[in-house]
Amino acid sequence: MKIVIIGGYRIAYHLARSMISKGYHVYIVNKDPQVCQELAKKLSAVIINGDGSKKNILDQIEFSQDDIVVILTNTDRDSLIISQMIKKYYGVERIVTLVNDPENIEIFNRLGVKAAISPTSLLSQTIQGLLLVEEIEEFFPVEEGKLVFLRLEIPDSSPSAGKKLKDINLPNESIIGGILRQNNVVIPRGETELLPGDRIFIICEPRVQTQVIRNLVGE
Amino acid sequence: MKRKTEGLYIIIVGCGKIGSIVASQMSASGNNVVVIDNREEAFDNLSEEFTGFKILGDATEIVHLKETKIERANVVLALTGDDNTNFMVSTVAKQYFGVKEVIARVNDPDNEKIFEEFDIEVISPTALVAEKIIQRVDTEGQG
Repeated sequence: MKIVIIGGYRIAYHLARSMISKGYHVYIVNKDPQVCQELAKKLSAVIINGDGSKKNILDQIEFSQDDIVVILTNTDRDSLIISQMIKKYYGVERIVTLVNDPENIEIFNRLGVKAAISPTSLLSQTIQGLLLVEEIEEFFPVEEGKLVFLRLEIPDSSPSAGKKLKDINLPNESIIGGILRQNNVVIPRGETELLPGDRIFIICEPRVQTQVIRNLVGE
Repeated sequence: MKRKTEGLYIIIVGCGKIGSIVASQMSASGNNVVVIDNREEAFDNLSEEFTGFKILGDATEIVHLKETKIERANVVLALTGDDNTNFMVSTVAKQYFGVKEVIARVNDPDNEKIFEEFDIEVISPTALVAEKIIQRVDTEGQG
């Protein structure tokens, strides 16, 4: 099993370094001869200089089906054809792709690339989270941003403080998974009352996160 | 290709030398043609007979493809000089928008196979020109 990184420069370097330190065999494919030279100096990886969207370049890699391929080119059209060639020609299924235009995530998914990650949408969700309120202690998107985990603290001013969960109007696309109350874990039920100072753990879809926070923390 | 009396709804991606000729002639012969290119000056290549729509934008961004009403297209022609663009446009047209007839210009013969895997009809300028030249030389040899 090897890890093949196609395209990218800084990310390719840091990713390769981290994978090599974990003991993986790393192959790097890059169009730019200068980038290749530099990476060859710094990394103990197999470096192939060439256009990763060309079959004759990909053929040099000698893929096996259990390889992991990471595609980091900066244009989605290049990444798409590379991902499809790797699937069809070499039967590799574990493909991670960086997607530049967040709207293309669905296209990659539909064409069998489940791990299509858009830094743009991850960043924008994180920024939205930061902009909302200080009470959000933790915020992280998972599954390429399809789900969001939130941890927040109920302030005294919360419109939901003192209310039973069943009486709090939360969107259907959200669920409270747990409450930490003075170091005790409370598993939430409809009858559970929310108290100021409670730390609550929420799983929700990103599109309702603003509403969730508003209802639990206030404006 | 089925020809309806009211003409086909055809989307042409890439308005370079090939795209503009195809767009102009398909438009002149009574089809509804939408042409999309990300270079404004590319539309200068269209002839005066062209009466269709021009959309300025990158066809690999789905918002621009949606502007063309691609889901209603009878035919999508991906005719840019870049195979990777043509591949993305064609697969998106076929798999995402369900367009039945998708034809792509494939410049590098090595790429033909991956297009065919996705049921995209391939036109290879390289192979066509080579074939023409061989035919020409062959007939000369005989004459």
